[in-house]
Amino acid sequence: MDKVMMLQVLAASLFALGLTGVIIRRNVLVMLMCMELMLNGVNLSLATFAHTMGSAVGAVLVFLIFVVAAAEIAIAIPIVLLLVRRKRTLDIESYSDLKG
Amino acid sequence: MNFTAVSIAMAPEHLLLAGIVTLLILEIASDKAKAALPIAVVFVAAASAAAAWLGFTGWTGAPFPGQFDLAPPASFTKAIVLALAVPVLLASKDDFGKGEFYPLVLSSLYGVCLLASAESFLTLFLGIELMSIPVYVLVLMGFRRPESAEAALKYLVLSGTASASFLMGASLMYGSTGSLALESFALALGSPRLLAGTAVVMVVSAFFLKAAIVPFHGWAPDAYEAASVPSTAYMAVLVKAGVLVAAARVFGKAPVAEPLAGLLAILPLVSIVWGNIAAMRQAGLRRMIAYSSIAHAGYLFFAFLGDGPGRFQAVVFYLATYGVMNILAFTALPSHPEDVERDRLENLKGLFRTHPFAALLIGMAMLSLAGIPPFPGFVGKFLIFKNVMAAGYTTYAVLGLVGSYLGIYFYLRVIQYMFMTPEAVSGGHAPSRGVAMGASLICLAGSILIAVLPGTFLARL
Repeated sequence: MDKVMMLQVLAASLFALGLTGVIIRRNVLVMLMCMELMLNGVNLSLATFAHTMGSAVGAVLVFLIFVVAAAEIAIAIPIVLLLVRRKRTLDIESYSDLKG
Repeated sequence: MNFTAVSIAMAPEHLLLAGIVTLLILEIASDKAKAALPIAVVFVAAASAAAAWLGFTGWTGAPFPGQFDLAPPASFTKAIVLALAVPVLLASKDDFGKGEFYPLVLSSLYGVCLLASAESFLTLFLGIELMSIPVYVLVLMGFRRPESAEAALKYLVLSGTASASFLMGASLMYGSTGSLALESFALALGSPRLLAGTAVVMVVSAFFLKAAIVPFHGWAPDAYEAASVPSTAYMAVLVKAGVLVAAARVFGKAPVAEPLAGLLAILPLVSIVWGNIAAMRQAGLRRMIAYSSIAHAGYLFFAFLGDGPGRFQAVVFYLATYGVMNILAFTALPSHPEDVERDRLENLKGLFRTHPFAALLIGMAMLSLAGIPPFPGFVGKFLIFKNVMAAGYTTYAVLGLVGSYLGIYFYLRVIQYMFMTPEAVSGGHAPSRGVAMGASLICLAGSILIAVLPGTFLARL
């Protein structure tokens, strides 16, 4: 297996790990971290493809993803703070006032 | 890149940006901010007029080649979407008298406009995020309800996951075709390689998640219920419109082949049936609209089974009819001192006696959403199912139509409550306000226009 392939497999596993975490973990902060892990998998994959193909578009998208991920977290953390202040827990199961 | 081309082609976006900046300056300069609403309305209306003007003059070009291009259908889509935002803004006066609401809505609208002209996955990603991030805050701002933070978090986590899946799909597509242009999606659709197939499935499931198609719909009812009424109207109509327009851009005119066609037929079919059945059991109008919007997303994704050229037209026309009627229902809903009580169906009993005008408008919106013939909703549904049948998916079309008849029950139930039952003891809705009334009148005018002249609209898309 060559280096590029290995990096792609690593990227895919990071993504899959993040996705699994978002689905099965019940701690809100861990879920947010897993979301970031998914995005990092994407970034690694994009950077590898950009390198092998010698085109800059992929690398530009990586920077945009950084910015957007930061913006998303900047909104997520205050929401988590609000919830924790009300419920005194990080367990997502206890945030169930709505009948999802 | 040419400066005049950029400033003309992006005129609607520039006007929105000017609006955002003006509103932010106003927010900093004074803390009364009574002028925020008129300023936001003026800028959005101007942006809509600019987009319509670009469409009527047939402006075509690519100010940023390969990233952003403009043709009359995209201009008209922007004009329709921005025009739909005007009544939403007007209706927000009671719930969000102060300023924060308006810059958020305008930046989200900027994202929707970007989606309508996106030419690469890079612009599309920017548009999607620009559209969704302000909406998390809009949900959170229904802070008269303690549950709003919970709903905002659910929406944020699921929407973020959808974005990540969309990006992974885009990255794999980049790897298999060597470009991030939207045409690479059409290439990947036709390619037998596993990598391309995975990429297509990831992008499509991201769209399903963002549009709340059934296995991925969990966030929608909660987010719609916990947000206050104008935010719900915004999410149900404009965010959905943005996602579907983006999906229509991505699919382009590419034909849909078998394994994907199955996915595109079965999940939307399930959401039509499940959305309509679940809507029957809801006690509040917002939750009912949430489930019905899941069903409507199903009809909209059915349009992708149809042949390429008619697809964009069918999707945008359906979005226009569905959007104008949904906003009509929300703006006509009289306000109530208790946000939770405002839309409980029990409290709508006998609304025709206390608020005859509001009851008539909501009744009309319900009939149109159900797809009863003289109303524009029927034309939209007809167009989609006609395209699906023309493409040879008769079985799915028939099943979808049967599913859509399930929906008539709960729409008619609202009408029965308003017109045929005696007044509720705890009705207590405030008398209708002038601004909200104006918003409903704009929607009414729009829907009459679509109902009388559907051909003129369709010819332009």
